[in-house]
This record gives sequence, structure tokens and C-alpha cells, in this order.
Amino acid sequence: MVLWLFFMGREDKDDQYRDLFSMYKANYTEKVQSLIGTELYDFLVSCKTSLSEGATYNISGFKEFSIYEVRARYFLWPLRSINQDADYELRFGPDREDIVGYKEYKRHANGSIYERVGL
Amino acid sequence: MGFIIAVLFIEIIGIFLVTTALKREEYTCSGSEVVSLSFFVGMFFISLQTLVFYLYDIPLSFKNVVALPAVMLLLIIARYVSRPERLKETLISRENNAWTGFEKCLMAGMIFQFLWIIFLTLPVPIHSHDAVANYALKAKMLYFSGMVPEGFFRFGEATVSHPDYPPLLPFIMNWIYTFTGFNDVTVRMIMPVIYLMSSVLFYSLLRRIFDRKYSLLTVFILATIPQFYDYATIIHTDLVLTAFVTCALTYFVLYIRTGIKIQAILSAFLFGAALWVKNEAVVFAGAFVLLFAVLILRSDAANRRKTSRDMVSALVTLTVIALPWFFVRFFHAVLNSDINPMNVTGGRILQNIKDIPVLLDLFQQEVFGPKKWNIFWIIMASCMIWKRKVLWKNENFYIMAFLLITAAGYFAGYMLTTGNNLFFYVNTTISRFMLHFTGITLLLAAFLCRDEYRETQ
Repeated sequence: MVLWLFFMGREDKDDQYRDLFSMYKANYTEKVQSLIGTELYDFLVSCKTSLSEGATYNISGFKEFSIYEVRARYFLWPLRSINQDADYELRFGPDREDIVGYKEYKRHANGSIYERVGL
Repeated sequence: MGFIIAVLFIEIIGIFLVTTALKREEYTCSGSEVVSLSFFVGMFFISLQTLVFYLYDIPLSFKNVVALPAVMLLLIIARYVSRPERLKETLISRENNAWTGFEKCLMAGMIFQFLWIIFLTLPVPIHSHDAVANYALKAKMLYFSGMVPEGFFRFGEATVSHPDYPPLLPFIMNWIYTFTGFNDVTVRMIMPVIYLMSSVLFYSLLRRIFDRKYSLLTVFILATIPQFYDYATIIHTDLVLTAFVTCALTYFVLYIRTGIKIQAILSAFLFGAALWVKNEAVVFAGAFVLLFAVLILRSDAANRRKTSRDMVSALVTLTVIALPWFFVRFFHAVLNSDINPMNVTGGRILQNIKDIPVLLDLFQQEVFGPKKWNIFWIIMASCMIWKRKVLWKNENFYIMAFLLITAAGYFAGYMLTTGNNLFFYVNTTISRFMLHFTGITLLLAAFLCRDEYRETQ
């Protein structure tokens, strides 16, 4: 029992308690910004306001299995992420590029939105 | 406020169904068992209702989803408010001895633990990988679609992770959104509630076997395992599955001891409902059926016929509970991407077998890692070695066999994985999978050590 209680103490891993207290003080937008990063948040808000409801998209600019990509997909719903022939290609990050079958639709400080040609 | 009403409605549904069933079977139980069991029954009912709405294209509007629960509320009021003495027909009255200092300390520790979980959960939106990719996104889809959208179980992985996964948790989250509006901060509070209810139900069942102090001590250990309470702070199905299978097996052990049919049925119900929580529940439900058959074989001639009849009732319950989801699973959902039977080849299995040392290495890291498990597995292993002579006696036989069969099932599952390499699967799942076995192992340890406890009293 003594050993059990001894091991119950938990260290403050990666300043998690400081982050937790800051969450208590933050409003909802600040909480989401803190979770996904301000740059991504601003880009996603721009996407959400620019794209028509029900549109499909493919988002890139993240590492493989990135939690930020997953959070982006969650944030953007009811815009729907699909792999192929999406209405829009969303590129997070400063790089611009040409995508076959798509034209630039909107440029943002933290990324670009490309629209499928003929949409 | 909306969240509390949503949880109260889950309780109301459960209380209506549980008290109706228990009264019919003339089975009495403690208030804590009624309340906690009702919560799990209510969760299942909400999920079933949502799936039925999907099959019949009925929108998940507020009016539609509360219609039946509201009728149940009226029936409860009609049944009990006018004649509260009817409650006594269902409830056990136990002697209420004064609590000892030790018992008060255990209870205070668990209350502190629960408050700590709430403190960790309260301010943060859903954020962990699987919670967002899978459960939260599905719940958001349901809420913003106003119904279970066409093709919900067939979306591509680019849209939502694992569209084929059992739907209980996203359905419950959508139920809460019905009362709170879309609020992915508040919805996380369902996990502490599940943690609380599973602890209370486990305690209530243990109280049928052990005295109060020993039951409290057992639940205290479970409730303060870091991995157990960590999973109460994030939206994940692993804690929910642990709750279902732990309580289901405890009901089965109670049935083995008493032969009371309703305990076998409640066990079957919880195993069946677990199939709505996580695919891995198939292993636990299968082991339950197998052990029930073993129980029949081991029972004496006088009891064999009754046990066989009870097993039929349990199997019918399990099938009826599981059937709606399995119907959708087979006819409306995509195939599981992690174990694709088409890709299970001899070469792939051989590769997985060669990687078994990786599995064992990660397993030992878990067992001896106090960060997630405190010294839980070390204590459990010590208990089994110390009490090896009674490991296969009485009810220990069934719990031990259940553990071995289900562990073998998980091992076989690992060997059949095809989507990625074994290290990937074991590394990402072993700590979660070991959580599924904590309650069952603790139940075994509680039986193994009870004689020593008695001697100290």
C-alpha cells in the first residue's frame, strides 16, 4: 500500500499543468488556437469562410500521421476531406506550387487554396 | 446544465429498463448497483435508438431522440413517485455499520482522484489523435448532419478514421450535443462520468462477494491506476470497454457462485453491449460463451440442465444485443483496414512471428513501467505466483481461463495484422490493450488474496 501511494505522484511532464491553467483562463477560440497553432488556425478559418458548405478538399503540408492534419480535418467539417478529385486543394505552409487540374483560388499568409479547374 | 440533463436522461432510460427487468426476475440489488448499471444500459439504449434512426432515415432532432426517454420518465414517475415503497421491492437493505478510518481514507482518496480527473478534463477541447480522428469527428458529422448521414459507415479513411468502428461513443457524444449544442469541451466530461459509474458498478458487484473494506480497497486500486484514470480524461473507447468487460465478467462470476439466472443475463448483456464499443470485444464475448460451455461441462448432473437453459438465455441476450450493430457492420460498413483477411498470407504471419521479441520487449516495458501502471502488474504477477496452488480452484479457474483465452485472442490478433508492421501496431496499442485486462486481473487477485485478508480481520 505504501509503495502504491509512493508511485502515485506524477511529475509535471512538458509543463502540462501550466498549459492546463492557461486553458482554464482561455476562451474557446484561444483554446483551439493553442491546440492547433495560430498559423494553422488562421489558415483553416480562411478556408472555412472561403469554401462553400459541403465542398470537398484535400489538405497537405503536414508530416505523415500528423495530429495537426487530423485536427484540421475535424475543424473543417462540414467541409469534407477526400483523397482524389477534391473540389479544392488546401496547401498549408508558405510554399506555392502548380497543381495539375487546379488553379489558385485564394492565397493566405500561411497557405494557399487551389480550386479544381471547371468547378 | 445541458450536459447534466443529457446524463440524467441516460440514467432515466436505464433505471426504467433495469428496474423493469429486475422486478420481473425478482432480483434485488443495492441503490449504487441500480444507478451505475442503469447508466450503462441507458448508454446502450441511446446507441441502439440512434442506429434504428439510421436504418429508418429518421432525423436525430431533439424531439425525435427524447420522445421515447420522455415516455420512460413519465412511466417511472407513475410507477414510483406515487408509491415510493415499490422501490424497496428492488433494493437490498444492507446493515449500515460505521465506516472505519481506513475505509474513510480509501473513499477520500477515490473522491480526490475523481475530482482530479475532472480538473484535468474540464477546460480542454477534444485534442488527442484518435479522439479527434475517429470519435469526435464522427460525433461532429452526426450533429451537423442532423442524422446519421448516408454512407456514414463507408466513408473513406481520408474523411474519417476507421468508419467501421463500433459507434457507441460517437453516438453518446451526439446525444450530449443534442442537449448542449456543439460543445467539444463539455462533451469530454462523459469520460469522468463513465469512470465514476464503472467504479461504482464494480464496487457494487464486489460487495456481493466481499465485505465493504475489501471491496473499497479493490476498487481503490483500480481507480488509482494511472493508465485507468488517464483514459478517463480523454475521449477513447478503451476505458469504456474495460468497464463493460470487467463488470460483465464479475456478473458471470457471481452467476457461477449463485446460479441466479439474471446475473448470467446481465453478464451477457454487458458483453453484447461491449461489441458496440470496440471491435476487440469480440474476443471477450467469445471467451464468455466458451467458458459458459465449460461451466456446463463441469457442473454436476443435477445442475447441468438448469445451467444449459441459462446459457441459452444468455446467448439469446448476447445475440439480440449485438445483432443490430453486426447487421450494419456487415451490410453497411467498410472492411476493417488493420486485419484484412485477403492480405493474411503465410509470409506475413511468419514475419509477425519473427517480430514476437519486439512484442515481448514492449510488453515488459509496460509491466515494469510505473508511469502508466504504478506497480499494478508487478503486484498481480506476485499474487499469481504466491497463490499458484489455488490459481485454478473454484471461481479462480474461470477468471484465469478467461484471462488466458482473451490474452491468446489478442496475441492471435497481433499475429494477423497486415496493414503495417508488428512494431507499429504493438507500440501504438499495447498500453491501451493491457487496460482492457486490468479489471479482470484485479478481480482474480481479489479472489486470490481474500483468505489472507480474512485472517487479518
